[in-house]
Amino acid sequence: MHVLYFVTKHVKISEEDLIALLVSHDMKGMGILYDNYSSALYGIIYRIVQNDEIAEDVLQDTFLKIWNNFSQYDSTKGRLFTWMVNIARNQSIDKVRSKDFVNQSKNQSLDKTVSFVDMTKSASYNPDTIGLKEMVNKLDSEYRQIIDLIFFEGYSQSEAAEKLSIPLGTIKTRSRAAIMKLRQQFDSVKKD
Amino acid sequence: MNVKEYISSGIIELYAMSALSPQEIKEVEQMAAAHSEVAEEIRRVQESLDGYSTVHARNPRPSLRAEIMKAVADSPQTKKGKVIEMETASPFNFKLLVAASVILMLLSTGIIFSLYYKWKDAEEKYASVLNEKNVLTQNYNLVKNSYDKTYGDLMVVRDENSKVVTLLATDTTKRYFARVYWNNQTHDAFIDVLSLPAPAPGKQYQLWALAGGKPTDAGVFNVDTTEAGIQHLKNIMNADAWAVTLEPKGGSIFPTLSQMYLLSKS
Repeated sequence: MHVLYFVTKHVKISEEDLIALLVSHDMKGMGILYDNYSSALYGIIYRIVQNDEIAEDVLQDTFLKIWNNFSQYDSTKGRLFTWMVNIARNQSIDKVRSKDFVNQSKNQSLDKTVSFVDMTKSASYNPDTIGLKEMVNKLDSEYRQIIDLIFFEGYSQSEAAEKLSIPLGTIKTRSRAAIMKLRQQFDSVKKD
Repeated sequence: MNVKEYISSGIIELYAMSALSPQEIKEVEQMAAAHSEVAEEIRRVQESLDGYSTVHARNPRPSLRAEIMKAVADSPQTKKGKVIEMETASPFNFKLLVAASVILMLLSTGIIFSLYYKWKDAEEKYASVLNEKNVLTQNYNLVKNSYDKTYGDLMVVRDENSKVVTLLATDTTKRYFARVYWNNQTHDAFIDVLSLPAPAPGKQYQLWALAGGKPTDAGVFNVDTTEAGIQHLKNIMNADAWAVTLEPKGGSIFPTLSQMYLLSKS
């Protein structure tokens, strides 16, 4: 029961072996990492920065950070992918919040794209995830919104509460409900 | 709050989405360490979020792979990794090795220069000593020759078989003077010129042995002052008197009596 299921697997390797390669700074490990995870990480980054050129920069920064700070990865705290997603997310959020980015994007509103996973702009689709995208789009927008704001855009609980005009106490319970819903949908896909 | 309530509170979701304060994060991690159900729930929430992340998967342009791989290969961490490999492969630190070679090179250059100057100095001294030695050798040879000559002369004089004959000027107004040493064993005749005028060009003095009034050529000789000493002339079997005449260079068969310079006293 691994979410690696959702990731296009170009190279079959156990997470343990991959981690061992990365710990020893073996460039082979980096190649496998890129082949297996670049699409997923690029998608997350693009989801946040909404620009291919910037997303490419952020993807490079993300891989460099993964490579250079690999000693900080603690497998007891979570899976490799989770750790990498967090780095990609943080790099993207930092980029979006930088002066640089504000000038570049000329205050392009992120809100416009928050509600839907953009299928039309994608340069290429990952066939494995097309079904999932449709499924996620079916997810109630109020659930999706809370995950997008907090997880992708790095809003704090109070910022999210303000943005969604809901009481602060509701953030926790709604987050819980949103992720439970997500989990149910993923589980139903896996059963198919 | 029991574990079940804790799990369903939504704090784990916020933890997984990185929306908690450091203090809250610490609490969640302590709960996860204490309760395996909490750890398991964290894992499942993370999986759901990972899945949600994956939904957005988008393939970057294919050429980006090479660019990023190059950036990673060029990053300081990668280079550091390579250096570590070198360090493990060799017990020597590369920088230390370079520093050591530079120091060694400077040292040997210094030694080479020092040795070069010492060698040059030594060579100069050697040349001067060699020169001195040559001078000394020459001097020695001069002295040795001079000694040998003197010793030879002395032996002629001291020989118990030598008969000494004094020759005086026939012209009694002149103080010409010579001595003849005649060995009665070997019959060698020697002349020691003590005073004679330098001969005219093309002329040479000649010694005659007279036996029963009959002259016998005893050889020509020089009066060169630098060649001082006793001169070895011919073997003379019989002589009762000795005379010196001035003859054309190389000597004559018969003495020119008008040119007689010296005659033995007896």
